[in-house]
Amino acid sequence: MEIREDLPENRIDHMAYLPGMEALESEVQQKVIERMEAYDYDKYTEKDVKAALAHRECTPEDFEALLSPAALPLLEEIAQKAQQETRKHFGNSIYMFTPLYIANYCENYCIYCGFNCHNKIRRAKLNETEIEQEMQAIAKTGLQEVLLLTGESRKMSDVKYIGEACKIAKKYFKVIGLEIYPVNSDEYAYLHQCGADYVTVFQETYNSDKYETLHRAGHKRIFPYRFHSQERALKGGMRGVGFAALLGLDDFRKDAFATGYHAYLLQRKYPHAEIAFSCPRLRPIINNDKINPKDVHEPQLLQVIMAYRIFMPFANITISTRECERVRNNVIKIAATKISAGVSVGIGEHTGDSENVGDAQFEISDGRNVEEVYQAIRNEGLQPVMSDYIYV
Amino acid sequence: MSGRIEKEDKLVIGGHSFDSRFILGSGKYSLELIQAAVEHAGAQMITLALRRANQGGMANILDYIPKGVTLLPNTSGARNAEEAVRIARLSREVGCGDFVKIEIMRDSKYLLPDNAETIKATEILVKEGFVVMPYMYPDLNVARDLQNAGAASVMPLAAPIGSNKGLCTREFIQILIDEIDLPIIVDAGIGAPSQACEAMEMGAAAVMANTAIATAGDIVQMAESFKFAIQAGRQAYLSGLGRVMEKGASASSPLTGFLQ
Amino acid sequence: MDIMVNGEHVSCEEGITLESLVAKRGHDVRQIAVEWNERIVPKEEYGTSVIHQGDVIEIVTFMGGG
Repeated sequence: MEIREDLPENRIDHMAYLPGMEALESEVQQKVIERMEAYDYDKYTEKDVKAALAHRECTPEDFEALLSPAALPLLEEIAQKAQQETRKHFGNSIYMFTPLYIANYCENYCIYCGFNCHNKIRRAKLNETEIEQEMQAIAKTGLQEVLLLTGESRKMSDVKYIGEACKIAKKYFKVIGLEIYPVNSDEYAYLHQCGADYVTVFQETYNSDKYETLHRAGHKRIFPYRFHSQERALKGGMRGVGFAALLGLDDFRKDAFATGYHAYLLQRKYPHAEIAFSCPRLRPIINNDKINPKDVHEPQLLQVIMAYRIFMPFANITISTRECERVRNNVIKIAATKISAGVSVGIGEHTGDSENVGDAQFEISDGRNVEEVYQAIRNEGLQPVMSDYIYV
Repeated sequence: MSGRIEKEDKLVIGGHSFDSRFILGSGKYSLELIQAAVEHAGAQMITLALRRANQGGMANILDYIPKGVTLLPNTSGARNAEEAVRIARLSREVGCGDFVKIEIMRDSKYLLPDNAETIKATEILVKEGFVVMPYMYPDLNVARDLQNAGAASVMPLAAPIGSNKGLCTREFIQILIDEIDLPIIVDAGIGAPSQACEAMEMGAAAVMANTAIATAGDIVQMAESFKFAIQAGRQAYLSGLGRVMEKGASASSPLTGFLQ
Repeated sequence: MDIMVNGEHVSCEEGITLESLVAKRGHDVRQIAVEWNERIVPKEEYGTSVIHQGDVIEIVTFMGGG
């Protein structure tokens, strides 16, 4: 089938806000993009990387060095430093959570994503009863933190619907995070009122030219609106915000730098904000098996995760279910502080008896249940924590 | 990481740029020594206090300060924001520029600054177009409030004023240097050139000193010693200090052996 | 008439301006600021500011300070 927006001339301006989108007066985007564009990772040498490891505070320039190719041969040394920083700030705690997909309708056409609106998959949306059943099933495993996800369809999963899901989640969980389409700050304030405290939005890539070619239609196409999501969420009263680039979409070093620097600038602007990173690599999706993580192999992925850790030692880092058991078990020893368990990325799969089942967004590599992940954490001499959160 | 030392290493405060990073206090010494002290210090900014004028055309400090030196009147004597604002407005009316160093004390024993009142005074004076340089007790939250209020720099104290005790608040000043996007000028308590040098090595943008010079055996030579110490500290900071070896930091077991 | 200058009672002739008062006390106008009944007076107004009985005036200048 021919898709209109596959032709560049049929796409809308990705840098212009659409009606209804809140436009923040913020200097952060310009600062991030300028510094990312100026980032020349080939100029860094082994000496710079070692100096970065020796510094008391990791500066943005040190962060650049840690992400450079010159750092690859020094991964072991970097890992020792990253581990020290992690233990210094988190002790041996590893936080556990699970994502819950409540809908997979999507209005965006993002060519690498399994939920994209032109991909012929089974679409579903849980009603309130089904949400409650799924949450009951998750809560039974002992988890106390849930991450609610939807596809990006305001029409099919509006803010009210997500708010209701938060209210139900509040009955079963202590910590509620959101990974939904970006909304305005008053809507974030409403969702915060309904019980959500954390918002994660993946920018995917910070290269707006590349971004434009990947996100061909839908609200997600608007690069600056997505970029400013975290800032709107903080203005809406959220306690914490999460950042991520989908590594492998574009130059992963530049994208990782922009992700860290974006978080760094927002932390300085909103010092109360809790900062978190996710570190996804591209995974194969249904109906498109050509997509594979290209230049982001395990060493490069670890390099990025460790650079995030050393640059922002107090930030939570989540290790994705896209990674396999071996990688996840090892990364929590070094830098990650948060791990999902009992993950299902389809719709309505936690209870398993629903007729209303939708297809998954991507393939997961670690299918372990909560008990298995819990034990694996213990086996590494670490302490699984379900929540250490006090509501005030 | 080359290119870190810029050819032009200027201190910029409120849009004005300075080559010198040494702010000299003018208290506690005779007027005749001021010119020599300023010159040997290489100072381009000097603090002053506002007082009632004596009758009868007595010598005025303004006659002794070399031309081209920026005057930084302080608000010493103010016990709250309102008094500080009044003093600042009067100082500006003398006609020597828009700079003001806010100094508010309501403790006569240690002379520690009142941070809460300092924030209030900063908010008011920034709106009136002053270049505001608040003297404060090094507290990150207060420094952020001052930054948001539009201060041109932040001046944390190293030790109680006039005590010459050095960098007693070192760790907290370091936090301000790391987190605040304004020049951090270490003020009060710096008693020796070595301490000024250390503050500059930490990344302070400038050092302000008065008592250490005023109470030295040879005021002019001490002013010059401070100049060299501050330059040395600045250059060391820009050069990037060498690494400090941590004891027993050798790797225990490899962490990256799992990679495929 | 009687006025207060820098906290002291001072007597001076009727109709005196700030400009004359300042000159009489030996101040260089470029080195002082004046507060007249709690209002700061711009220098260009000294000549037209006529002082009255009971007025409170502060004349300030700089001195050494840290």
